[in-house]
Amino acid sequence: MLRDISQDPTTARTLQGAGHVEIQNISRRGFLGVSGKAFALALFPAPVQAFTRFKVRGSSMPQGLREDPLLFVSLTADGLVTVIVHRSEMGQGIRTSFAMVIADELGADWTQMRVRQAPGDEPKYGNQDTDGSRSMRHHIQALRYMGAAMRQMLINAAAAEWGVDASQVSAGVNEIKSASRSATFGELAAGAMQQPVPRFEDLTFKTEEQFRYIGKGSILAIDLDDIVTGKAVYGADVALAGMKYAVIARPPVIGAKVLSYDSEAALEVPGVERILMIPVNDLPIGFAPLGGIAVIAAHTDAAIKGRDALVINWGDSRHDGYDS
Amino acid sequence: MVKITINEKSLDLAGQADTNLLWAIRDLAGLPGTKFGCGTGLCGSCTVHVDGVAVRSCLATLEEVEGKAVTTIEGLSDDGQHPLQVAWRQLGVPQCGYCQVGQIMQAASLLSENPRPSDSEILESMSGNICRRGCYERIVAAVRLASTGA
Repeated sequence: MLRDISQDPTTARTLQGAGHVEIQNISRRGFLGVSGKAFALALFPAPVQAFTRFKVRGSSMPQGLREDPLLFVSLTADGLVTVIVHRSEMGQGIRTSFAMVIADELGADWTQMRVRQAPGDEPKYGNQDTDGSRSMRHHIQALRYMGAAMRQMLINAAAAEWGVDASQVSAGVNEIKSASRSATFGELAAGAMQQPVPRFEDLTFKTEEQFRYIGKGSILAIDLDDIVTGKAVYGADVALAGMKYAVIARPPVIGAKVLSYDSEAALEVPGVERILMIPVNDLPIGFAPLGGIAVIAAHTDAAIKGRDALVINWGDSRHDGYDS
Repeated sequence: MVKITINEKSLDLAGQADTNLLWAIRDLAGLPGTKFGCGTGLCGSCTVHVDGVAVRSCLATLEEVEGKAVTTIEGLSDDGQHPLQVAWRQLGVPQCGYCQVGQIMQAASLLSENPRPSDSEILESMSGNICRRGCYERIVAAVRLASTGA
């Protein structure tokens, strides 16, 4: 690590994208002007703490923010590290970046990383709103904590198994070692998952210079292979046993209500099974459903044709006078 | 029931002669790799091959493809190593990826009839495939890479 710093002191800047990061070595910036050697020496006496705890605004969002490594990260005997991603992927790369942070802080190789999408379950996973470009800002600290905690749990598992003090054990890339022994993450996975979860204050965090993935621009989207083979699952691709398909005839002007409708022709469309009215809410609609008439069918095309065959008598809306 | 051939498999689909091909592929054949974008032939995300030629599946019916060979992304390559898929990976083309299946199917059709397209021919062929993320430069570069290796 010290060698890395002296080779390239210009990389010793504050963590980008980490929000209100307080760097314990607060005068880092001042070191940039001096030689790399002096910089390394100056750092040497104190243990390097990459960042100290900062207030994360995500914790005040509804259902808050969870940072339990046993909830979000699992190590398995096959050497894989599986990260549960509880925010939505929309091309911003959150599934990839969550895994990158865990990989770097844990010390896993990128080839070991897998992601799984969490279901919608805020009491379990914390706030799942994916908006405001803030999933990473809100989670960088939690992710680093969980990665570092899991690394320490691997160290503690190895120490227990080898009958030595944890201070005699260190972690490398997919490797835990002492002076005389070493083991892969996979070999220690079961033991590590049984260890008590360490507190933030008791952990050592990586420095930016030790990162292999964060900020390096070298990692491609973790879903790339699935995307180019058509296997990536988007919301509309989810298929459940016995699932039906629905298409909704919406009000032509927001706020217009259904006065009457004739569904006879729609029900004659092959594949159409049922017609349901969804009440139109009063204005302002806000986040409430728009309402309309839903056509439920065996497949989407039948539902679309059924919707087109509906005869609906819509009421007035106070927005009727507007034109696009 | 309508009998059609998708990815070299003969399927009896529970649709009608006028059932839309895109929804038959997705809902009836259970092949969700082909995406719905606009439903009116304006975006290209639903592109499949009919007898090897790129077609907007949202504008076709089952009747129109009876007796023809429909190929979707799931059937483009057995091992996902079509030269375009290799190039797409190498250049990390997609962001969200939603339109990319259509992009790849359109490009595959282009390369099968013109293995060495010029940049302007690539642009002309790909101009009907819209990418909300604006990945166009990487798309063109990947088509070029797949066709020339550079």
